[in-house]
Amino acid sequence: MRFRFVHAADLHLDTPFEGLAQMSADAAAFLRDASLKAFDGLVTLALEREASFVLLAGDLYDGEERGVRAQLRFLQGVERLAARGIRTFLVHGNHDPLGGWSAIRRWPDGLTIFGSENVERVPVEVSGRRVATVFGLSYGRHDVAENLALRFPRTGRRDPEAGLRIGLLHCSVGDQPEHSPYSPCSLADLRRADIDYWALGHIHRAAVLQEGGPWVVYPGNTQGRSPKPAELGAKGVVVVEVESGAVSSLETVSVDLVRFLEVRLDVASLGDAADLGDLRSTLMRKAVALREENAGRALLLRVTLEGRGPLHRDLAPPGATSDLLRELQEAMSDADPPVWWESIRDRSRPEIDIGAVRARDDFASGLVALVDAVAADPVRMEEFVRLLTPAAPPDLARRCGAPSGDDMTSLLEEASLLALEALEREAPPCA
Amino acid sequence: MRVEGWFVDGFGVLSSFETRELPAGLVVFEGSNEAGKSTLLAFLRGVLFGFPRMTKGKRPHYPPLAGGSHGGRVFLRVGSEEVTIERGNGRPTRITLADGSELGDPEFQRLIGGVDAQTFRTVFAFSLDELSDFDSLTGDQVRSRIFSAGVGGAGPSVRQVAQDLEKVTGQLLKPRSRDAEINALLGELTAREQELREARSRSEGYPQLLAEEEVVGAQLRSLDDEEQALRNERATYERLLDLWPVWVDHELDCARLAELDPIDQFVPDPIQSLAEAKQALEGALQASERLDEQKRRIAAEEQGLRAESRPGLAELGIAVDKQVGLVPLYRERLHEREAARNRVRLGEERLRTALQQLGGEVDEAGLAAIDTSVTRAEAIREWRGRLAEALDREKATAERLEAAAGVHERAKAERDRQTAAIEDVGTLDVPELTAKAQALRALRVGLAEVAAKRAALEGRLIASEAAARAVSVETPPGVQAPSPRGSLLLLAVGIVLAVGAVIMGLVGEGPASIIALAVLAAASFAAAGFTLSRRRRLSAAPEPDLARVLRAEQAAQEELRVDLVRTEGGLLAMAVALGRETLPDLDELDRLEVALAQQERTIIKWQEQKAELQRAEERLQILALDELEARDKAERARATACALEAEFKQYLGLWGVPATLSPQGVEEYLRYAAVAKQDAFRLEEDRAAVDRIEQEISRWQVETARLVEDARPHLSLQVDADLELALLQLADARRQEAERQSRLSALREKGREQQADEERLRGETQKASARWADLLARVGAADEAAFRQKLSIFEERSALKRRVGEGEELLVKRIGRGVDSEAFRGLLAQGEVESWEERGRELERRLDDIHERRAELTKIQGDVERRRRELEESADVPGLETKVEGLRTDLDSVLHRWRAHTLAAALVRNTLSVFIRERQPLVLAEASRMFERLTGGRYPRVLRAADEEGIVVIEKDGRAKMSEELSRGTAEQLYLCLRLGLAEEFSRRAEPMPLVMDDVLVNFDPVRRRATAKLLLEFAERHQILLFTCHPEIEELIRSERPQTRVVRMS
Repeated sequence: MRFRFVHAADLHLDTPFEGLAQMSADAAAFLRDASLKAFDGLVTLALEREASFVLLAGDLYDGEERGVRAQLRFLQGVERLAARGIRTFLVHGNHDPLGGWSAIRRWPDGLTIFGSENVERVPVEVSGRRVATVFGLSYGRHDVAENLALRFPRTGRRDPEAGLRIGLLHCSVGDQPEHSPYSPCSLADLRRADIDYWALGHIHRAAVLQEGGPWVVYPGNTQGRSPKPAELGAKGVVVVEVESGAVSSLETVSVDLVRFLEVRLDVASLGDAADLGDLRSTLMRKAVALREENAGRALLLRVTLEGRGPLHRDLAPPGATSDLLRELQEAMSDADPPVWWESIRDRSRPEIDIGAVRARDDFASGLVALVDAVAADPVRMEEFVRLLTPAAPPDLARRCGAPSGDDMTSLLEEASLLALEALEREAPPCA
Repeated sequence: MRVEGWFVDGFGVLSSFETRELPAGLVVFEGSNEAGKSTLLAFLRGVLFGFPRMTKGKRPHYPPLAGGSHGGRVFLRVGSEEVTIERGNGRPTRITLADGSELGDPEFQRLIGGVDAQTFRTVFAFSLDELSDFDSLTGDQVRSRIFSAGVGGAGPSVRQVAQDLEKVTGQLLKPRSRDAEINALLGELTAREQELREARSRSEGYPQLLAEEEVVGAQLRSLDDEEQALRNERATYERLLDLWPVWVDHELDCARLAELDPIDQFVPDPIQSLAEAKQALEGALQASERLDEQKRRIAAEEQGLRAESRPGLAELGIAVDKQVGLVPLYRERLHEREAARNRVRLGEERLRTALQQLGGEVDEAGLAAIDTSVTRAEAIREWRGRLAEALDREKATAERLEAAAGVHERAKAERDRQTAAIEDVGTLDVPELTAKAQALRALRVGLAEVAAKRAALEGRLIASEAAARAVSVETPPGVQAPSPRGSLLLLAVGIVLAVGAVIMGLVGEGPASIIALAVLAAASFAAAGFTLSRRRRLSAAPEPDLARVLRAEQAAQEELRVDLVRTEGGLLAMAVALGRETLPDLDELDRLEVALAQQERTIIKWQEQKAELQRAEERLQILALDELEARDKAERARATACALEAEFKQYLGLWGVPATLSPQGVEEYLRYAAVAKQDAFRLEEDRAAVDRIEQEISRWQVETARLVEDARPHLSLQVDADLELALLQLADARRQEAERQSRLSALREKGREQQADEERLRGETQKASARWADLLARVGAADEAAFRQKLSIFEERSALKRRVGEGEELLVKRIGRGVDSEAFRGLLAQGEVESWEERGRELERRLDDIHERRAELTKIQGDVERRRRELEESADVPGLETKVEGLRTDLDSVLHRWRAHTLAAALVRNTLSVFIRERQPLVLAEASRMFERLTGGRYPRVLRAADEEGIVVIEKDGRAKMSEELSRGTAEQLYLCLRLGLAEEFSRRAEPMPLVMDDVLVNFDPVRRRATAKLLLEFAERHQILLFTCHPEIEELIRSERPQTRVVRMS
């Protein structure tokens, strides 16, 4: 018997986008609706592909204070699926643990929400025949440190009536530095369970950790939410084809509306004679190329300028990057689908040879020596950490802690270049 | 760096004050008061680093009091570079290197290691007053300048860099303010977060809203039920009140129906039937009366028509109509005939004119005989061509003859003019002129030769005289005589030059060059003579070789003199041959040659004219022959043309055309003849047309006259007067007769129709009478009045029965049938109208109460629903979350900038502290060493005060003293040592700068002054020192320590 199902996770419905600078009202509204429309796209895909059921592996919502709009939109989607006989299986994750308030008093019959006490099993029938069994376990609270994978059946026996055995879980497999290690487990833990297909959630970068025996699949989130590496690029769901009780193929299908992309550019590659106009032209050419690569999707572009070059001096004056950003935004204001330039991060460096400065015997070399000494001395480093930890206003002190070690390393480099550039600047002619 | 000198153009009391080649080391400038030492210090500061900016309307710094323009130049040596700086108010600053390239101030400042004006003034060039001003050393700006020199010549103040960075941090974050960027972001973030919390709180009230919405919905439904019951009861009373008038009318109608006679049947449409029967009877009677009147009128008309009738005219009817129909054609033919006649008259006139144009000798028959065919015209064109060709040829030959004659005449005139010109010139003797010219050229050569020989002779005379004088003088002892080889060489040169001059004279070179050579030769001879005489004076005794040379020279001179006389004699003979009594000089010779050249040009011109005359004679003969040939050709062409013309006349005579006509005339004649033939043809056509029209007119007139004649028995007509009028009268009479006959026929037909109508009307009258009687009988009425009374009763009963039925139907419709209906009828029958109205008002009040409660609940329900929908559709939470996220991101970004700038400023400050701590001790150690030496060991150490604002000196016994506690002299020694220490420290990292000191030793006691002098002299081994003083003892002190010290005195 053949059938297919849709596996998705980390919908984060109607949640804000993280780490973005303030944007225009239109762009903000578009982004606000993106996660909801991505879910609509998921539902439409399931209907078009005539999926037998849909699996949602946690984090439907971004937080316990899930919004009414998000819940109602989810209800509408489940109702659309139920109206066509498509069941929906759902577990809650660390962002939306069970027990959060619900605006919906009664869900349609086609929705199965797994509890958090025990692993529940739900048989799935297609055309009157049992074709699969879905095992699922939700989070009861957000900070689940337990390895929930161990709670799934581990008899080593196979029930011939069970069909394809699917484990629906929100967890962190192996070392995932970009994500909090909730419900940590290993691939070995997953292999030992009586599961043929692990439908996982939590990791936003799509990945098939193991192909068969069992399948271990992260579909990634349905809509990128921030400029973090795991959020960049295409986002969507996995359509799983099952034949004779085994997974025969996987297909990744994008449902995202807005695509986060980072435009990295080494200013040195533009040459010594380049000015801000050349930089703008280069960025525009890159944007056009990205539009072609991501046809049909709105783009949110973040520019990161790197390297050393004379352009650094042009970018240094206050307002230079914001003016450039505004010009880029105006140039792309009529794009359809929209293209937004989110921000320009100037990580370019002045043309200062630290090694050469270090070899000199002057004030600049003294400053470099000081930086070297601070970097090597935790006690002195701590003095600067205190200096950079604002004590006032109180609100700022409460919000912003001390800079981390990594922050201090990059801050030391940036500050030393800042100081050296100021010190090496030309003096005005005397009278 | 070393100051090598300066030029003060104008600066204070100094003007055109120049000092050059200043050495390294110490240089003393000594001068009394007002000699300009302080002015010179200011000049050096100004030229090196710029004068103070001159504000508008103010005088420049140290205006030139002794003349010159403000400013001047300073000459420096910086390393291996020579640098000249020129500066002054009102003139452009120029800093030039030895190779001419120019520098800007920044480049110069870099070249000297970053020293700027303030540093120079404070550390390197100072007066006594400035020396004792410790604040100038500890001032923040100067101090930072000193240390910024350690940055490697970067220029900007390190402290300024730190301040700039701190300024940025201040713009980003202020601990207690809201106008910094972070503070503003923080404020907005806090506000948005509060809004977000509120929005989330609203969202979580969604289930409560759903419950509220359900409760209100249930209350509304209960109210709806209650309202419905009240509305039903109110509807009953409203129906009673509504039906009460209907009920009352219904009851009254039933009672009236019972009172009326029972006439329930009547004829259908009684009024209509009565009216129709009555109308039918009256109509039949009126029609009979109208028919009788018509019969009477027709009979009278028929009688009148019969009396006027003339039947004979009717027989002519068709013929008359046909002839009348031809009247328009007849009238048209009359017009055509007149027009044709006019054309005939005009054609005859035109033909007569054409025939007259053909000469008047040709009639119409002759005209027809003239051949105007194309063949004939072509023959005439051919004749015209041949004749024209002959005439053209005749004309061309005649023109050529005339032209040849003209050319011949002009050639004759030219020949005569040439002859006259030659006669004017007259006869010239060419050989004589040639001989004169040759003699003049020979004379010129001879004169040049004489001049050269005379110059050579004079030179040799001078030389030989000098040599002769020298032979008699003794040479003094110890002085070596010049070599005789030089004299002989000069003599040989003179001889060569003299011979050259002679040769040039012989080959005819210009006299100037010959004379020049001669003068050179003479000079050579003179020099040889002088040399020989000097040698003679220096020699103990004349040498025998020299005497021999002198004698040979005198012999050669004699030969030259004889040759000169002989040459002049030959030249004089040549001059006599030219008609001169004496030898001419060169100017006169030039004039003679000019006159001779003029005569030569005249001869050349005369010879050219004679050749031209010869060529004119030859051309005249050729032209005479051309004229004769042209004349012969012209006569032959004329004969040919005359013969052809005679042949043409003969051709015309044979053809019958006047022989006097030219070919063009014949062509014109033929065109006229052709036109005349066309006129004759048209005339013939017009004449035929006139005949044809007249025949048609005649035919119509004959037929008309016949008809009129035939009608005369029936009608009186004037035949002879106007046939057309008579015909028209006849036609009119015939038409009237036809109309009469037609009318009579119609009247007869009408009479037959009237008889039939009469019969029909009689029957209709009888039928209408029977219908009327039957109608009255059917309702039992005797007459029309009775009929109408019975009808009235019947109609009232019918109306009452209908209203009673409608009332019953309405009651049934409103209250139905059955028990309830009967009960309702019972209520109606009771007729308690006031009670019903009261109960209705009460119900209305209760319904109003319900409406109010319903409105309140609906409002509550709408409000709850609106809030629920708002929550369902609200994007407040995600919108605010997005905003908050954006603000947090911006806050992180700005905070990062604040941290980077704060850290950068801290790094600069810390590094500066390290520099101050680690570098300044070197300065102080140097100052300590020097101060200890100056004070004879009393103060072995100089330290920075704990507050970093002052200087402390440590006495030999360890006691510390602030600089302010020192005596003036000691304090000045301390500050001098500090400056020397700073200069030393500075020179470790950059070009050593010169020091300029203006009387800084005056307050020192003699011991310390001497120690200071020694110290300065040692220091000057590494740094140039320009020491200004007005105290001679200081100069003496310095010189006593180092005598070779350069001293520049200023007055």
